[in-house]
Amino acid sequence: MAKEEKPLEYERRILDTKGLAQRIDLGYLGRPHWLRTWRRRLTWILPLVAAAGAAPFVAGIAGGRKAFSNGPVSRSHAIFEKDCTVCHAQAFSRVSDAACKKCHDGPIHKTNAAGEAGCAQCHAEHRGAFVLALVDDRNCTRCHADLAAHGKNVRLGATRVTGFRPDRHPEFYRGKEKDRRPLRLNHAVHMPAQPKTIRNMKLPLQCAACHVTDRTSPTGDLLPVTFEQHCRQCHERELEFDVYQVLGAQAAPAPHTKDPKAIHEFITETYSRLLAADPLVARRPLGRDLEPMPNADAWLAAAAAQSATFLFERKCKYCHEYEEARSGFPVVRKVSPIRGHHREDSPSGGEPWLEHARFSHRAHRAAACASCHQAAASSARTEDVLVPKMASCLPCHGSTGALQDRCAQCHLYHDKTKERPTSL
Amino acid sequence: MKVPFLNSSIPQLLNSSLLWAAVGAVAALVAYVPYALTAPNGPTGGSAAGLGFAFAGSALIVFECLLGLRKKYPASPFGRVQTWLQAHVWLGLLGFLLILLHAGFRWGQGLAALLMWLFAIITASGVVGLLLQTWIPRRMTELVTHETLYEQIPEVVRLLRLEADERVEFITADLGVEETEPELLYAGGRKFYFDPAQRKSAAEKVAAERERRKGAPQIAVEEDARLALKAHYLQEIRPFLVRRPGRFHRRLFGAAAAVAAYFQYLRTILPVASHDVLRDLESICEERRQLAVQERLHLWLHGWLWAHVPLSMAFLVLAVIHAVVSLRY
Repeated sequence: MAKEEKPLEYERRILDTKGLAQRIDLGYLGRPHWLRTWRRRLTWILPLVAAAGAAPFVAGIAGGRKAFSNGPVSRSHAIFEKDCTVCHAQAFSRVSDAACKKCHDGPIHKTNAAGEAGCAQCHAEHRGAFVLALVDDRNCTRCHADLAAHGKNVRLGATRVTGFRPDRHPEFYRGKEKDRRPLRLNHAVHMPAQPKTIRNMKLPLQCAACHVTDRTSPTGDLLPVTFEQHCRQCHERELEFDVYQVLGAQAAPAPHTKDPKAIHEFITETYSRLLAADPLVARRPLGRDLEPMPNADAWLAAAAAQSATFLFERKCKYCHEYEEARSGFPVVRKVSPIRGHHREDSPSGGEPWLEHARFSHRAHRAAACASCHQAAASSARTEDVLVPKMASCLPCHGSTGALQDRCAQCHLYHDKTKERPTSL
Repeated sequence: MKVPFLNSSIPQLLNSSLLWAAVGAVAALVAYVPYALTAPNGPTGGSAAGLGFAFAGSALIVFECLLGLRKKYPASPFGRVQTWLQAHVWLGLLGFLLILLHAGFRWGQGLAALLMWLFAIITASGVVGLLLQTWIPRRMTELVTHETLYEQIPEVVRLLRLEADERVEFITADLGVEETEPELLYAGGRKFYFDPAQRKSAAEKVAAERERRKGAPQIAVEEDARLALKAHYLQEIRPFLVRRPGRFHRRLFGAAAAVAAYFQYLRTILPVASHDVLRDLESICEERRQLAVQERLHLWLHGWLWAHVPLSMAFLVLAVIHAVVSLRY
């Protein structure tokens, strides 16, 4: 009989450190896990890919250098946005003024300014599609906060301007200068509070009846107020010279001209034609005289002289200031076209009242005239300067935090009168 | 006295990278605020202060990238690796702040924006990694009592499967599964017999035991119990003891309680004679489950480095290009 084999003894599982250690495959260091292997490979691959990917951009292929720009350029420079060297001509150097002056003259600010700022110092590019000229206020207040320290022989009264607020910015017009134009102008009469009709003209007049904007002007400058366009309709009577009522109702008024000799000749010519048509008129006494003139020539000379005197001393003085007679001709003081700050030596009209700022009526066409020129309706004197006060600007330009608060919105750094033409 | 949350004493803090980073951050902000308020065109990267922040930030970025090199030569006399790691963490955050100050808190466009995104991702991945490396090791200690070397897991799983096969064959005899053993050198080594006869004898002995085990059941149980055990083992247990178990098997043995419940159920349907084998199988399954947990935690613990390290190198290259091109223009 075969001996039955004893079954194998089942040994329970024992997890001891020796048994655990004996499981370790010593060759594992030579077979790193794929996680570690691929992490190491990627640590080399990604930088190489990055460098290779950046190469075309560095080379500027297809305008690739734009990728290195730290911001989009302004709209006016967008045409050469892909060509950085137009402005960044010198390597490892800031944009030089010479690069800007290839296109922009950029005349100096003031001759007595202590040092000029570089172009790029104020006009910061690469900030998106906005107007480069609207520089940050800090570029201006850098000097204007203490103008005396940043200029030589500073004559301006306002030497500490730090913002557009009543306590930081001077008032536009302080009442020192008056409007000295030799003309009698009364806004209040033309704009009465109660409506009425005078000389077939309905009052009050609207501002635009006299103050018309120039449609060809980009800033909507006002055209000069002239007698022919804006005053003759009501004030033609002020040109009538027939003091003795001999000419009749159809007599033409005297011309509105600066040449007194021409006016006198017109008067003389008118009476001459009357004599030629009706010689008997020479026998009529003139004025309070009871005796007629001895002859037609004497009558003509007296009528012309007395009519001219009547015209200049009674009629012209309605609006004009009278000057002493020269060479036998009574004259009035000449008035240039009514525009801006009156200057005796300026034949085309005056300078803008705002000497250091520019104003665009076109930009403000949505605002009613009276909303800014509040004193116009009550002004009865020519010398009244109707420049609005700063308070009328503050609601929109005070502290909105937007671009319209900026100094550059109204003030120009570059003296445009000294601008020279540039050519590309 | 320990500082709450930081778990460091005050002298440790005073001599730590955290202090340096905090002081640096405060100094940078103190320098930035008046510069930002007074710069006429706002803070820009190309201004003197902006370039100063850029150089300081770049120096820190280069230092950050040197950590890998320092760890590669642990014996080098340049300070402890632990100190370097602490400095890497805190000075890295300071570097991000400095670059933000350099950019004037603007994201920019083009390459500058790409660099900011990369830096943000790198910093965020670093912070995430720091949190993970603080929390996961503790969690692994709690959850994985049978931890092994991560790279050993596939081999340990194979050995567990072989062990389970052997133990089950005590009851079922030959299971009908064969595996080829790879040529590996184990730490346990091979028992070296000087005497060739002894060597042959040891191998023959093992082979003989194996033959007997496969030839006939060594633990007597009813036939239906044997078949049931074989079926459960081949269909449910053994598929779990592979390198990548299927979803069903992962869910079946997904938690310690699930493993215990499963084998408790087997113990109710199989005879007492098989309970020793079942207990060992339970131990093997639990160990396999813990290895799966270890694998998952290891991925979490180290996976963030996939984003952190390669992107850092790419960032460094692009930052150099950005610096050169920006200075050129």
